[in-house]
Amino acid sequence: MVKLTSSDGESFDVEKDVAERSVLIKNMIEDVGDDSTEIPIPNVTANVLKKVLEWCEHHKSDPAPATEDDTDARKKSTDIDEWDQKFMQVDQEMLFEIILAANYLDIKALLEVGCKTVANMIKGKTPEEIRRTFNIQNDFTPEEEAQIRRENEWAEDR
Amino acid sequence: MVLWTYADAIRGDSSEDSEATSYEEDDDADVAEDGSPRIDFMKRLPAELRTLVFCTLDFRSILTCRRVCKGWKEAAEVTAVWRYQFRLRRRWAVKPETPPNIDWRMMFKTRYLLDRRWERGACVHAYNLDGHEESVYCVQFDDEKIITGSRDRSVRVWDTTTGKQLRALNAASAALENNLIAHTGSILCLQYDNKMMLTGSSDGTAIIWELPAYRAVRQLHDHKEGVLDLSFNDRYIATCSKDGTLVIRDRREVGFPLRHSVVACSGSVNSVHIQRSFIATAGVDGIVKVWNADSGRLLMSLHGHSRGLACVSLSPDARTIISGGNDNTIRVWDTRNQHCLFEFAGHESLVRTLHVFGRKVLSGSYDQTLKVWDLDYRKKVLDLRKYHGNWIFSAKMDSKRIVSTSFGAKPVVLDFTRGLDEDYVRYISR
Repeated sequence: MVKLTSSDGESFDVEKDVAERSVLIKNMIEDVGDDSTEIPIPNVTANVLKKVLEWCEHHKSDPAPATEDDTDARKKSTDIDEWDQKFMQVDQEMLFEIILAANYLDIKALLEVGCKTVANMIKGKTPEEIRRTFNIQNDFTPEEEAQIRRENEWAEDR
Repeated sequence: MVLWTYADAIRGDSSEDSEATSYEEDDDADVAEDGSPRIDFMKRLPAELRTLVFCTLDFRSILTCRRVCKGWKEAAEVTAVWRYQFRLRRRWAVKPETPPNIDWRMMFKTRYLLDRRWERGACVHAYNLDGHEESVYCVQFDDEKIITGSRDRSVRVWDTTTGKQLRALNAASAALENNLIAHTGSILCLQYDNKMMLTGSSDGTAIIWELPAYRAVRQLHDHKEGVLDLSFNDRYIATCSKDGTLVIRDRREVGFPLRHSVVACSGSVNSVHIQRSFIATAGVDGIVKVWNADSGRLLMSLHGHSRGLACVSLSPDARTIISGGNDNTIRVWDTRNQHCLFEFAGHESLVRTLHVFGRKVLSGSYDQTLKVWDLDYRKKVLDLRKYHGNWIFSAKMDSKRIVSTSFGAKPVVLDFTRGLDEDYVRYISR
C-alpha cells in the first residue's frame, strides 16, 4: 500500500499497482525506494484524486500500451469502452480536472479517454451547437464568419 | 481557483503568453441553464492537450471548430494538428525534403483536393508530347522528366511540367558524340533510376546508359530476337525477349555479369517485372511465372488466363501480382498461396500495359481506354476514355499524373495538379 496526499490535505491508502497506473507516482516510489512514505500530490484536490483513483482501480490490470502504432490507432478512434463512458459522465468542470490530473500524473490511457470525451462533445455539431455546449460567445463579425465559411468550402464537396 | 494553478503548472514555460492573458479576463465560472458548470476546453486546456483533443477528431469537425470563435479558430489551425491528420492517412506521403515547418493545414488541403480530382477524373489538364515521328512504345516519368521510347528508334527526354523536349537520343545524337552504341530498331522498353537507364529494342539488344549524362556506355547482346521488356532494381537486371528467354544479370557487380538465361515460355515473353528478388514474367502461353532472381529457378506458375499475356506487374512488397492480356481481363494473384484473388473486368480488348502505384493499378488497353483500379477496394476507380484514339501501348502513373503512349507519335500527359497550390504540390510524393 502507498499513501497519497491530495493538495487539500486528504490522505488515500492505495494498493501499489493501482497507484502505479500513474507514471509520475511510479517514478516517485522508485526514487524513494520505500513504500511506507507519504507521497504528496500537490496539484490534485481530494475530490478529483478520488475519481482518478477509481479509474486506476478499475484499470489496474490493463496491459501496458505496446507500440507507438497502437497509440495512434487508439487516438484515431473516438470509441470509448462502456465502463469509461459511464465513468466520464461527470460535469464539465470535473471532466476538465480529470484531464489535467491525468496529464499531471502521467496516466496516458485516462488522458486519452478524457480527450476523446471532449472530442465526442464536439463531433457532428454545428458551430452554434458547440457554442451552446461549452457556453462560448461568438466573437466573429458576420463578415468574418462568411470568410471562414468560404475558407472551409474545399472540404464540403465530397 | 485550483484550476489555474493546474493549467499554469502544466503549461510551464510554453510561449503562449497572449492566450494566458485572455484566460484571466474570462475567469468567471460559466454555468448552464441546468446549473452545471460549462468549460471552454479549447481556451482553458494547455496547448498540448488541446492538440490531443483535435487529434481524436476528424478533419471536418476540426474545420467546424474554426467557426466557433476566434480562440477556437486559432487552436484549430495549429500546424501539429494538421500534420497529424495528414500522417493518419497511410496512403499519403511527402518527400523527404519537405520543410518541417511547412503549413500542414495547406499541405493537407492540397493533398485532399488532389484525391478528389482522382476520384472524379475531373480538373485534368491534358497535353501531348510532340516530337516523336512514329508510335511510342514505352514511357517512365517523375516530377522533373518524362522519358519515352519509339518506333522511330529514338529515346526522348521531356520536361514534365512544360512538356518541352529536352533531348533526343538516337543514331544521330550518338554519332555527334562519336559513340558507336545506338539502337538500330524500335525502342520497345525502357527503365531508369538516378544512375542508369536501360533501353531494349527490336534489334535484339539492350543499351545501358549513364544518367544524368545520358551517355550510352554498353550494349548487351543477350537475346536472339527483340528485347520486349526489361526491369531492374538495385540488385538485378532482367530482360525478356521474343526468343522465349529471360536473362538475369547482376547489377551489384562490376560489368553486370550474366547470371542466368532461362527459357521462360515456348513463344514470346512479352513482359517482365522485378521486385526484391522476385521476377515475374508473362508470355504468349498465358501463364504467369515467378522466378527467383538469385538462383534463376522457377518458383511458381500461375494458370488462369484463357489467352496469351501482354503485361505483368508485381506490387512493391512482391506479395501481389497483376497480369493482363488477350482475354481482356486483369487478374490479381497472391504470391503466398498462388491463388488468383480476383479479376478486374471491364476492358473490351487486349490489356497491353499495367502499372502498380501504391495500392492502385493503372491499365491501358487496345480498347483505347485507360483505367485505374484499387487493390484494396477491388474495383475500378477511374475510367479515362477520351484521351486516346488508338491502341494504348504503355502507361505509368504517380500521385500527380498519368503519362500514356499509343499507336501514334504523341504521348499524352494527364496532369491532376494543375491549378493546385504549387508550393505544396511539389512536396507530395504519394
